[in-house]
Amino acid sequence: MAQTLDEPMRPLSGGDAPSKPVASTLGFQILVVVTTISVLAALAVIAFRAPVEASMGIVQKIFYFHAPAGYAMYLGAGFCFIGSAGYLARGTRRWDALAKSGAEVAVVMGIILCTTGPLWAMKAWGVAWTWDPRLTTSMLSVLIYVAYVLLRSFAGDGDAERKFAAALGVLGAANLPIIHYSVQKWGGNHPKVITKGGGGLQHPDMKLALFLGFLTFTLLAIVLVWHRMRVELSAQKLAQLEEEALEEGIGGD
Amino acid sequence: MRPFVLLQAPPAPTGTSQSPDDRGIGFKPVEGGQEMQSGERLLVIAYMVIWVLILGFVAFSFRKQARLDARINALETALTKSRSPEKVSSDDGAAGRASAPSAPSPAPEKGAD
Repeated sequence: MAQTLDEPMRPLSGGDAPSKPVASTLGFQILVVVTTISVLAALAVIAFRAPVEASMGIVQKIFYFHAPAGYAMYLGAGFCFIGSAGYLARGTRRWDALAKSGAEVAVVMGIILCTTGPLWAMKAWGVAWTWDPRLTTSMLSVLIYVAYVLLRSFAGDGDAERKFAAALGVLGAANLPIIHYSVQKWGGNHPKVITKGGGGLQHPDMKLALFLGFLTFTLLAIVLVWHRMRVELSAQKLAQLEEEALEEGIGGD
Repeated sequence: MRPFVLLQAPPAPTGTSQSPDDRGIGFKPVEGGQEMQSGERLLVIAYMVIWVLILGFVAFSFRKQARLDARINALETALTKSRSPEKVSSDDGAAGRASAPSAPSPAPEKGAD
């Protein structure tokens, strides 16, 4: 990579640019390697060690990445909430970058959740979609973060737009506990294997596969948020350089 | 007559009683029958969706980072070049010019290049 964000960054004209290195490139690379190993280990355990479920058959193995994808969506949404709250409180672009990165990861994980779920349901329930409380609230949450990402992509990058998006990021997080407790509160078809009241995973290799699934998606969410944050901070640095170049009267091409 | 009807096999889903000639001129979907989904196929589709989405997102992100890095480098180089004559003129002044007569004279205004 030609340029890293380990180099100190000059402040933006507004004085709110990142002034410290974003993160250690070495740390990021180590995290990427660990994540890759975790992905391969999870795939191997799911494919070769976890037993086939007795009533649903092999399609149940979707579960080992479906549930962790939902959890990773919570993580992305959590980063978005923290970044949005930080931006509203402090007004610095670093918090805004964290919020935007978190929302993007929440969207990717949410799409995985809302695609793999219906594929599994086609076999397990005989229909791809029902208006079950958990399914409905999950889809609503994904749509909130899609709206956030669209807002950031097409509504400009002014302070008002960033504040509006931050408010959406804070309010969007309000749906997360509703998703989590919707099955307990309102019933529905969605299984309760992990949460209290479910039958649980009967076989130790099933538990191992699920653990590796959660580990993999936790690491993936962190790596993706970290990398998207680096990209966002680079974009902010580029905007500052373009402003300086204009003041100097050069095109930069 | 009624018990005889009950002992018969349930009616076949519509659309399955096509003659070879009918099949030659059009396709009809099964209506009312139990469509069977292959668990293996659904599993493969699900895993493909997961990894295509994640790898696509990673590839998009790295390409964007590479484009930004290239643009930042180009702008930093241009800015450094733009600012260097000013530095020479302010640091060296007349003494610098006297000691290096062959050096080009500093640009009268910034952004000369």
